[in-house]
Amino acid sequence: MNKLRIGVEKLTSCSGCINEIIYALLADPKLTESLEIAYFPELLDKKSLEGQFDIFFVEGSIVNKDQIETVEDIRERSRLVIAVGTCSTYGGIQSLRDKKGVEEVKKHVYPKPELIDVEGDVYSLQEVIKTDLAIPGCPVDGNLLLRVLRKIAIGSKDISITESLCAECKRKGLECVLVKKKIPCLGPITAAGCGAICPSFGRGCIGCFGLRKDISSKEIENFANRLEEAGIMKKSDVLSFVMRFSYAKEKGYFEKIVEERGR
Amino acid sequence: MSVTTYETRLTRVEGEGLVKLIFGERNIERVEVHIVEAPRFVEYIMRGRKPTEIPEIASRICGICSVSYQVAAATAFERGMNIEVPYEEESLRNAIFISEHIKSNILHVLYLQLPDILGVSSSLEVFKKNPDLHKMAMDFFMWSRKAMKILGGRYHNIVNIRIGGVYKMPERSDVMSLSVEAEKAITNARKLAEFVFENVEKLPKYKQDMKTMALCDSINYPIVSREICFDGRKFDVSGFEEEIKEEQVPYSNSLRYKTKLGEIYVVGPISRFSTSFFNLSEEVRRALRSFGYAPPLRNIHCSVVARAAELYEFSLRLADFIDSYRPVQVEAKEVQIAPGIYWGAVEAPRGILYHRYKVNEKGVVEEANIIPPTSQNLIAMEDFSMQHLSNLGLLGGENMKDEIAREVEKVIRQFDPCISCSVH
Repeated sequence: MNKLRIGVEKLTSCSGCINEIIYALLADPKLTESLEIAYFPELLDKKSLEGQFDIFFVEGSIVNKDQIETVEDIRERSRLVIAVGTCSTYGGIQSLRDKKGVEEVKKHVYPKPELIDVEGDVYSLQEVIKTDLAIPGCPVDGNLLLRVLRKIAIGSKDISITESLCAECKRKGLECVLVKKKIPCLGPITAAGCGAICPSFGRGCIGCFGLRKDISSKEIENFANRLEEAGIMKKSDVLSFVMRFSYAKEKGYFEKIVEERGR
Repeated sequence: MSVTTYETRLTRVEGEGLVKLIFGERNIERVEVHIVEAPRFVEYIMRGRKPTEIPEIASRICGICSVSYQVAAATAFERGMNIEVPYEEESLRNAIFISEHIKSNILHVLYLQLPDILGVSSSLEVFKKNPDLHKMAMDFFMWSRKAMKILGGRYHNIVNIRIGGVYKMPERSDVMSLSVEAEKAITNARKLAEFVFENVEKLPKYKQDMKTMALCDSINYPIVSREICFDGRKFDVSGFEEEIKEEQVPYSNSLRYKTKLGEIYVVGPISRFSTSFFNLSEEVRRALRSFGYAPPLRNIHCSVVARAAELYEFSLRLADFIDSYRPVQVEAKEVQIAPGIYWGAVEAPRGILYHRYKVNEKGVVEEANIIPPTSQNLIAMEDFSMQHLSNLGLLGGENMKDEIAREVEKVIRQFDPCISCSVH
């Protein structure tokens, strides 16, 4: 059997997902045997993109022209492009500076802002090219990645299931922190996949796997209203919490919220 | 006069950077470390958010050393607002922090740096030739992964640190499940350290004049402290920004730092080793001495020695924590936010990580300043690269560019740069 030719590119991110990709590529020696890791600058001395790829993992969000060119090139060379992690899927935490006027933002960090090559807003990979699969998570779960890789290696496909984090709490038999303890928890609107880590540590879900794919801005609003009515958390705080990891999922809506808050 | 340049992407480091070599007519004139990765402006994002949210947001600066960011932010507010952290919770937090050091050192030594010591281009090649080493690396890697998961919830961006302590003390039985493998991990750490100590023989031995800066702790090998040690004196973390000078150059998205007198300084394992050698365990010191290593280390290529020694030291410390672990009930925490300026510093795997926050009357962050270790080491990376080339007698023309670039990359890797951190 031909080996699967793999590429990995990191864009604007913290590299946490890179560690998980390394884990997924190397944790199972049998699977590793069936892969040819052809481009992965964090791991190999290979410096440029060459040839065609079966699977390309792209981690991080997009903030300048170079990155747009890079991912367009990757798209042309690859059979499957997989967005890995919340940055790549939904823009990640850095998208909180979106639409704030990048020149203004630069001034807050750099004495010479004109030297910084960041042109505009923050984009998820899915906003720039067509992706075949997007696996969110901050960080992505390495075992989830490993399962996807195994499926592709045997010529199968990933079946994407849309369910809330709540389902994982139920399966684990965890007491609901939201209902029982009135702790703010984003579980009901957040995509499952992490194994309910935060609730199992007695705290509410922070939403780092991003909003459930089928959740609309109306439903986010309803959820925030309910938390406020129940006296658990102020609506504006809930929304500010939700957008930390899912900004690019509902850009138009969150932009409006931030404007209203006037900051 | 002809000036030519050559650029090449840095590989086997975290993040996106380039090395640029600038050649004069005959010789190389300058080495530049280009930090091309796009910044995320996290300090801007923190504005208007509550201090209680900050550790979580800060942790997203780095996937490799997220705990360092969480602890630096949490301790800044705790110390400044007089929030007491119960002893047991602090021990757990330190154990999570130590696990992160172990994880980071494993990743760096085994996956990024080992190929340089053995003269190959990737760890995959090393492992193919040395299946035993591969097995050891994987076992060790998996143990650190498991430790982070049990103590912190997952391998990075862990969920168990907050201002005031932790969210939960894991069950004793879960923590004890790490104990069985802890002995093996210590053996692996010792073997790996010995392997490194033996093979560093192959690395250059010239002596360098090196100014080191590190946190100091009177009892332990330092990870969290208020005191910074530099040039034979100590100062409080709140005075850090007065001790250093920031600069911005056109080719780097990371700010860079020197001391206020314009001296180049180094942070990281080599600095910790040199200032806190005597706080290492007897066992580790003995191993080091048997290979002829003692402080101060005076060549940047010995960073890997310090890293291997730390891997050994931290494995021992984590094993101690596991064996004596006793969970207590975590009390609910009400944090009273007070306006003010708050400073925090930790020894992240790559060196001093400094945080400063200004909290306003509304109880939200108005200004944040974060100085990661990699930003502080950037100037030394360039300077030491030139020193290295000069010591090797490898200064000659553009036709040598590949060889020169290879050597420069080796020097840079000794700092284990975390480029994403530097452009937070």
